[in-house]
Amino acid sequence: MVRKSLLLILFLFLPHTIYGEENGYVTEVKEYRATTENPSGFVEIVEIRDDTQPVDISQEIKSATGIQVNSTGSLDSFSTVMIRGASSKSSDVFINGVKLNSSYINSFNLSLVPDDIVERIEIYKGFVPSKLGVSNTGGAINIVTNRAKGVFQGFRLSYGSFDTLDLSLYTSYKGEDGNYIISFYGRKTDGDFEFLNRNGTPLNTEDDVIERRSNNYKDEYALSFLATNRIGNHLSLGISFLPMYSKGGIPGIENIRTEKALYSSLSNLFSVEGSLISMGPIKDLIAGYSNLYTRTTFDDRNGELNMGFKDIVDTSDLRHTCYIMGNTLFFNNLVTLRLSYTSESIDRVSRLHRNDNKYLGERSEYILSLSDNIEILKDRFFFIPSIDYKWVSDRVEYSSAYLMQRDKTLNNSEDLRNYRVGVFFKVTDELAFKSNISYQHRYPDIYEMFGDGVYTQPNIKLKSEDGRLIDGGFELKTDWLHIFYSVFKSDYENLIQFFENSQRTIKADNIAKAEIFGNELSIKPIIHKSVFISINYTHQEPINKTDIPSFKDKVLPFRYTDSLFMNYGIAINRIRLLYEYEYTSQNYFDAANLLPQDIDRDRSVHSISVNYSDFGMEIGFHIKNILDNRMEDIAGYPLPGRMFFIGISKTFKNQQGGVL
Amino acid sequence: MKRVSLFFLMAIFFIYACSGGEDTSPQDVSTDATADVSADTSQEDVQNSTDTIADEGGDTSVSDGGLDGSEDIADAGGDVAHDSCSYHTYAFTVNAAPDYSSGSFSLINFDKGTVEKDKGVIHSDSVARVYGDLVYVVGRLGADNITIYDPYKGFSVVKQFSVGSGSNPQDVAVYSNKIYVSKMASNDIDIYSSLDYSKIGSIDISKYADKDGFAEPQNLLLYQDKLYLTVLRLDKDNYYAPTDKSYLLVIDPKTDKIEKEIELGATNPFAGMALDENYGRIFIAETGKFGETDGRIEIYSVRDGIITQQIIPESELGGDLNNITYSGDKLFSVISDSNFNTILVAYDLTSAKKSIVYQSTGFSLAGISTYKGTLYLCDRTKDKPGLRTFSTSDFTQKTTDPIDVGLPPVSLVLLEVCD
Repeated sequence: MVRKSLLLILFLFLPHTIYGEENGYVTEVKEYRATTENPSGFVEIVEIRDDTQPVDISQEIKSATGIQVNSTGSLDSFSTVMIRGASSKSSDVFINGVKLNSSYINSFNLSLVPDDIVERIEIYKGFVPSKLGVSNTGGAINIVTNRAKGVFQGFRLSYGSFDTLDLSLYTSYKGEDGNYIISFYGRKTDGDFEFLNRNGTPLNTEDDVIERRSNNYKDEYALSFLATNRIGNHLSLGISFLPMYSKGGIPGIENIRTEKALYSSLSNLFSVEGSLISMGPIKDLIAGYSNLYTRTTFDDRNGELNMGFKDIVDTSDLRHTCYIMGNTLFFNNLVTLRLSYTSESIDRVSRLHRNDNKYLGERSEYILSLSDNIEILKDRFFFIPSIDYKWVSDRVEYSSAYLMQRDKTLNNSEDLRNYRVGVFFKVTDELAFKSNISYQHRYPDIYEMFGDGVYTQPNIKLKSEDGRLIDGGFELKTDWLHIFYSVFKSDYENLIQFFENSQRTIKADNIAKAEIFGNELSIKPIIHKSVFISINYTHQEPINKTDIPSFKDKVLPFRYTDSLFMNYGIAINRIRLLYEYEYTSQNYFDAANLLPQDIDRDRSVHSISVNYSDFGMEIGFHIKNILDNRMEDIAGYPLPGRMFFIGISKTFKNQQGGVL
Repeated sequence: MKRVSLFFLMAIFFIYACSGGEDTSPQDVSTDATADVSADTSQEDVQNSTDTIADEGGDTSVSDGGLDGSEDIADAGGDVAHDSCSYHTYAFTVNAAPDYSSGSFSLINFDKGTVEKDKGVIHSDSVARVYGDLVYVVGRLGADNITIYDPYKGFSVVKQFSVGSGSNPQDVAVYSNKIYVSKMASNDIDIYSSLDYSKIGSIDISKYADKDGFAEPQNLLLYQDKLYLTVLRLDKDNYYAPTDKSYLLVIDPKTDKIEKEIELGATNPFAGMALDENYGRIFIAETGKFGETDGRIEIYSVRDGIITQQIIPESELGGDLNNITYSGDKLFSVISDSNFNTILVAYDLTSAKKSIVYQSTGFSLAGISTYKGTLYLCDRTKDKPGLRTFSTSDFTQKTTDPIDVGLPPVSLVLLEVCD
């Protein structure tokens, strides 16, 4: 009996085809709306593996081409993502279409995403699709949480190195008119891996000592509720709640030990969306509302981080977004129009200086996006122009005793236009070519534009960063081979960097430029239904083109030039074996290229997994970084070496909807 | 997420902010440096300077590694006889990238007219001193170490040792076989052996701590067998704002006891000290609060053991004191005005007149040093950084373009190497 409760559909994210699994590996090539809606765009989908090992979004996303993740430590450590060498601020991160980056600082920490509720990650390279409705120069990442695929309940439990314990529980229902899924996820880890402490003396090895990383723990919990319901033949509604909590210690840079400094984040994402499907000339009409509330606390009350002060800073961030989007088919044109309004307020309080400071920021954005898929040759050749118009208005009030910055109010508003033209040419059913040219902007975040009321000064004359991108490539999909290749070139100007402008303050300025050229190659041969092979390779040349002499023509810091990710999997009866190899080339920690990264270290990582399944249960054993290679993505923040995990998962399928 | 991103910026920024003024070594050996770095220093000048050191015993007691302004030479030969070699004047510049993500040192050989850009990598917040025949580089917060270079071995590293993780060392002085290190995050002046670099003692200054529990000692100056130390007393819990008073301490390095404490007339002497060896005067640059012209330069008479009546207020100089150096009865300082533009000013102690030597747009001028009629200025202008030189008598600029040293220079020491 189908239960009639308020169940809603999040239409945009349902896959077009249902994949089939046999002996543990994919047998069909899937199509996702993310790719079909953006035929000329380079979109890569990372499916989260359905096995027993703990999921780490940062690790999963690294496997894609053109992606770089920089982490500060072990599982769930602070991590940011770069797409095609653009800075982490140039790439917006979404969850189910709701933007997670704060307008205060636009760089998102991936470790705040609860890992085990994720089904797949959609990566938009070099562009942001109209349906996500933002303006940025690097691209976008949309994290799609688990969808109801049937009637079942289940759990996954794993335990491993550094006392890492993962638990996820889920219950799913899928009926004719509606479905829901409820997931709970929790993780705790001590993160106390061993590392070589050079004691701040890289030129003196006599005082080096092996130590355990201190105060590197992380506790994380999330509850996800996603429900859909169809009402009649044309209307569907969807609703989701996603409260998330994480708390963790902040370890110091290498030789600085902390005991109590911590960072915590509590957020709740609520979204509701309704869609009208196939009503006359309208293909679909979608209206939605989302509300994201985040409260973070940075607590260094003892001054352990040696930043020069003790502080406890609470930041509240509340964002509302309303949008309406329609697709219509008009003389071989699939026209998409989206209008959205977002308002965000930020309130920062320094608890140790409460009487002396306040900081309130507000940002309002209107975004109008228009794109047109023009079918020139039926099912073969598409011409896709798109334009976004964005109007932003900011207001910041702050007051602090620092440098007598009392009762300041600053305003700014600006409008931006992004343009993009893409072409898609399907030569045969297997082979397609595509290319894009775009001109895009990233509007400064509130911190860059208005400072923090203390050490960072405002600069309301700051301009948006500009990006010009051209890319092209092909995709070949046959029954036995899947290859995609792309080449891209991005030119960035007016990039924002911070410089000292007094003895005690810094300020942002549009001083930098960059040129990034790259190739991406992905090969997936389909040899046998029980064998999985995937090879992803990226080469990029991220060059600093600023006029600052010591930076000019140097490699941009923290960017690799080469990255290789290989997966080999085989399923034999009830056993699945998976081997992973990951390699990133050395790069530099600094813009002047005086500090090479991991100069004496091998930056390759080998990992294996063994899973055994029977009676609806799966048991797995996983070893990551088998050769115990020690690396750093960011100077002074060592990454862990070898890690072991053991896990178990079980799915209970309901008699009405399932097999067992 | 946001706070930790901010941390990186703050860590990079605060490393510099707590570094204080750009004191430079008194071992300033000037040449008439041009943009080509050609040297006009005569051998006779060098020999005269060497003889001066020899007359005074030639040991490190004369070398005021912690500050600027004396006519001493950093005779990197120390007590070693170098009769068969030629002395060359070197500038050892301490450099930092504009974003402080990396640092380096460069060497300018004024006699040969050569520049070795970014010869070695150092912490981006560092300061250098010369004592005897060695260069000591203090790696401040984030490095917390001392690195010692030997000019007679191609400026190779003699030793690098930690002075305590997170201790934020500020300055170093060497007396006899003892290395003194002041640290912002400690109420001890640590003493290390220059023989094996082990810690052999400390001088407790906790008595001078303010309510945050830290005294914030900074600049060290060695003169006539006495060690002079500025104690800033900043409120760590209030964005390092100056508190009620700051001190100058006089320490006897033979006994490692504090002999005298002098309460300064203004607060926050972060801009350092300069020495007039001829009259035995120490000039103390007291910045007070940033953004307010509440600071002053005070003069301590070594002979009388008191602060003299003569003061030079910041209001007269036109902005916050960032550093100080002395030459020929003139004081030089880079000040920052109310818009944080940096200006190199000169103050004639005889006529009590201020002159503007060089002006920049923005916060781009940094460390200064003087020797034999030449003033050296570190210019960190983003698109054209380098070292500029001026005449100390009429302030004319000798360089047409700044001498490119690689990364933008923050400070420098001058030394003579017999090679």
